[in-house]
Amino acid sequence: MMKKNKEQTAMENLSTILHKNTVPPIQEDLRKQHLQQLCREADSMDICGQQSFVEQILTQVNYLSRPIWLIQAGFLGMLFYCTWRKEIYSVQALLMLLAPCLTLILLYEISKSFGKDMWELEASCRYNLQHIFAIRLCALSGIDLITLTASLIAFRISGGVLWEFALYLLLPFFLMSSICLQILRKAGNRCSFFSLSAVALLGSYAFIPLKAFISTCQITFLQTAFQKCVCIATLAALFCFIYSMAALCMNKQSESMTLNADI
Amino acid sequence: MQDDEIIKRIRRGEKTLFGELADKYYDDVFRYCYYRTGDEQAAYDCTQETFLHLMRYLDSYTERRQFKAYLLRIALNVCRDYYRKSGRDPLSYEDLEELPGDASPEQPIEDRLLVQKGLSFLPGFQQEVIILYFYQGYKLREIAHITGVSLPTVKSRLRQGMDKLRIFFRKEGIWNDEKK
Repeated sequence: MMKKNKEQTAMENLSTILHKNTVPPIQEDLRKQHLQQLCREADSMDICGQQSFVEQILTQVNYLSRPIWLIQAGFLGMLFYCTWRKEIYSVQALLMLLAPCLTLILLYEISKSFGKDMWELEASCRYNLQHIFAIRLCALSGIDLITLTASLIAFRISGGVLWEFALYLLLPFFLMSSICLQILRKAGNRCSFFSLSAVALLGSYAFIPLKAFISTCQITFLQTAFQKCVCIATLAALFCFIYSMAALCMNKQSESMTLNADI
Repeated sequence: MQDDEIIKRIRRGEKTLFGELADKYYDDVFRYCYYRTGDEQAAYDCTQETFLHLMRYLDSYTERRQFKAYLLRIALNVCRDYYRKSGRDPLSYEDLEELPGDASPEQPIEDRLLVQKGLSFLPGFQQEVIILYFYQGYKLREIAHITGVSLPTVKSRLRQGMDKLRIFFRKEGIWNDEKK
């Protein structure tokens, strides 16, 4: 108790002494001059406002490669042509081709940042890399969503059923993208885009024998069970895909730098 | 108008409000910079620099209702930068121990200068804590937030800074143990 009182007295004592050091009165003319100068600076400077989510997406969309748009537009064009001609087998074949392509497009865009150590450059800009990854993945997922919806419409018009659509396109796309994103997360720039492409292509086409099996299988019970399994697996793959994207963004957080905070 | 509202409007493009914001906090920032640098001209320069930094990095302000703390954190960094650029180093603790005792109260040295001298003996990180605690009236937790260190570190820096100041003031004869 006594020690505490002593400490308090010492603190008060020190406070009294320190407050003898008074600040000289601020020169009003100098203050006014400084404030005017600051106002002029503020007028000429581009003070950055916070961008809305849509603005951020649109900014990042500008950085996406042109082949992404061309490939997807080409696929959709072919898909609609085949649907119009009522060629269900061509639609199925196109969907099977589209699954690895979508994965490759996604991986190509993301692996660019890893392969060329772009994160260092990006991290020194306005947002940290985690943010840029998230926005870029959102933009790419948005484009994929449009392609998938259009493909689904085309597939349904040409007489296909939902589980087949999941087997041809959704399951390979979600599953292979998740696997490749995880590889990218673990291996970083040690893993080239070409090796990832090989994994995506081989993985996607491993689903073809499954389709052949179900077409030739005559047991109804097995067919129903298989259809259910495809639907569940697709949902699970979708969650894995979302998790992989989030994990990839979080993974780079430790490496990111927000230089503007380090004034 | 609340600070956050002003900042929101500046970000939206009402740049004239920046003057209002600077006018509101100019004195506080100047006071901090003066205590930290001990030089009037340097304090004006650092204050100006602080607001320029604020202008440049206003979009990175995300802390709600803690604008003054955010501004002081910038001022703190600007003052550190000032020391780095000017090459001024505070004297070490050993220098303080070796100072000749001058217990004569009649010595015609202004107390203000003496206190400033005492502060300048402290290392920058202790000086910051002492200024924020005694002059700006911040609580230890808030100081930890401003300086970006943990609460125990702030406590230890405050304790060490106070001990050094006590030794200095005792040697200069302005410390009275019986004083209340």
